[in-house]
Amino acid sequence: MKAPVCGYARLSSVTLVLAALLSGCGDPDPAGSDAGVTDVGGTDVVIPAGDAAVLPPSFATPVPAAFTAGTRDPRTIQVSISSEELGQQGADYTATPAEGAIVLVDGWELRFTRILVTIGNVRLNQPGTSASDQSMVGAAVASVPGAFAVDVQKPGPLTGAGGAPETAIPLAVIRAPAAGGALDPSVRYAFSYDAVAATPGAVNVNLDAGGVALYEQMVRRGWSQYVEGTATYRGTTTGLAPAFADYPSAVTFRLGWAAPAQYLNCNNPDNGSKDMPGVQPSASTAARAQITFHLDHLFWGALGVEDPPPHFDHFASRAQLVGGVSVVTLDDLMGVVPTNLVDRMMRPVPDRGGQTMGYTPRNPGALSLDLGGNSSLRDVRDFVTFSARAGGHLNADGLCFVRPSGPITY
Amino acid sequence: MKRRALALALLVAGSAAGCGDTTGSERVSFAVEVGGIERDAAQPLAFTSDQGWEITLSEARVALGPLYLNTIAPLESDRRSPLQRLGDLLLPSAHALGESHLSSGRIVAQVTTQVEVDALAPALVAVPGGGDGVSEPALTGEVWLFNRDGALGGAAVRVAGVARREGVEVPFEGSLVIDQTLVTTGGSLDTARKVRGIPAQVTPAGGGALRVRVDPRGWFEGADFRELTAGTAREGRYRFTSQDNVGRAFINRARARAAFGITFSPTR
Repeated sequence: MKAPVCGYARLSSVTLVLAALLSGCGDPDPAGSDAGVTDVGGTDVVIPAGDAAVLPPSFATPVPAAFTAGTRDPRTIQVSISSEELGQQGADYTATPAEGAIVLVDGWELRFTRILVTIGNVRLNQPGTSASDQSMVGAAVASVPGAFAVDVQKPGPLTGAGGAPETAIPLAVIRAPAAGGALDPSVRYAFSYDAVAATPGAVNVNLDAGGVALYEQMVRRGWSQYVEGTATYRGTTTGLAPAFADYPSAVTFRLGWAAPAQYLNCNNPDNGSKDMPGVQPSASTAARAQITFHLDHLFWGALGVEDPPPHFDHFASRAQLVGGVSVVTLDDLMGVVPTNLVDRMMRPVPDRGGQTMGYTPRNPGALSLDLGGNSSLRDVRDFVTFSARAGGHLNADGLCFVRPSGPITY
Repeated sequence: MKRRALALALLVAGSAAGCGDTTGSERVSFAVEVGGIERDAAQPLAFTSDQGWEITLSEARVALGPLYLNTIAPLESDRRSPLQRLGDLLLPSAHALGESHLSSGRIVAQVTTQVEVDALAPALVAVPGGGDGVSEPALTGEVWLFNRDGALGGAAVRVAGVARREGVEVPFEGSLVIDQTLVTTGGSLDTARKVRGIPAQVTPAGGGALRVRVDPRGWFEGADFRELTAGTAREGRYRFTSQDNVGRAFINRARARAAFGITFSPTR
């Protein structure tokens, strides 16, 4: 069996050594360039060098859905995934948002076109024993083999945990403990999952041809997430700072990064409270475990507070023209200090969020991001991916304990 | 506001102490000592920021306290192994690990006295009244910052020094005042004053000493001091505010977890 290096196949040999050490996956492949990659299920896959295909031909065809909206098997847990209304429908701009509505306060409308993720190691454990340390779980009960490559922007056949019009995509059904018997309806099992780097060993849940091509690039780059979409400026306030005349009013964003992490012992709103972890099987029907990604984290302007106002100007101000289209990637945010946001012309990015009710810029002349006590965020790229990593939840709003399983890379 | 917050914290700690009667945890009192980072006090504190500024501090004061020890686990970024930290230096990766949702946990010990810390002085200073709680393991510390008169002049943190880079010399001063201007939409003044999740794997024990050190070397990460020179120096110093990038960096970084170190010695 080749030594696993957990998805850093395209990096240098030095990086491979470190990646293997950091991820605790044992010795690296001394060959370096053709590094072995072990998928979650344990199958060895070799990523060839150069431009050769890294995905097996069978990956082109999505697998059949694991279950349908009508499946209701008692004592089972149905695992699904959703990016909720924001990921699926986007966010409109309005100057007078309703309470709870996600609105970019600086006047932008959002539409996502791709949200590619890889989910692995979906598992149940006995409940944790520490009320104050959510990461503590009991003995392993059951796990879902393999990893799932999913475009969570796409609608699914299930109604989302947040209610219609949100939808969810079926991933798997946990039917019994690994040790045998049946799931116990009196137990709230700890539910956890991992975000892992894209891997040829994943099953294609719903990727179309375009998604497969992008996923191949994700494998090559070692990314765990890829988010693509468009932002269109819809604000109507006049008299804005002169810098805005130089910013595009329509921007395509293409954001890819690796943020491998474990999402542990997730809280489950289906238990009646957002602070109660665990998924409890039912003796009469199936229980729901919807892995939920909150895309608004990408645009948050502050860490350490819940639901801070989202912005897009710090992205737009860094966009470049590519083939006549304004495009921003995470590379364009590299080196930009979160407390000293500057545009491509090295001017401070003004804060035009005042055109949205409920938001008052602290300094209209200079937008800045709040670090929330974090000291290791070097630039806006780090800030965005750090914030996004916390966006993995359960059944809409259930927070999980997030334990990184590797460094964030780009 | 301050009194309400303290009362709430005491109530929580009191509940924890009450639990001790049935779980076997012992009520304890301990000494508390505060100071700056350990270094040669005969030399000025000089360091180079991530932006290449060579900074020498002449003043760095913090109004620290109250302080609480909490059972909540620290954010992952603060408990990476030495091997992981080595990897951070060599991999083209972000240090941005962990996540932003830190739940409430449970307070097991408290230091209710507010004390002024000279972050340039490595010698530890005893805090009158010490601390108390129960002998349960804590994983993190939580420092609250309140404005203070006297040397701090009504601020929670005050700093002065000189920054030099490429022939440019910028004498500067400024402060962190806890007020509504720090409150992010969706946050609160209490949120703004707390530094939570400071790694502190300690178990309070009677007769021991809780030691808190303040490290000001990260306070100006990301700051570009050139912006200050567009203004006017007063008494030979440029004063940063929250309206410039130096001030914005400072009010964020002075409240960073990494600016505080918490340990516990079983003996004084």
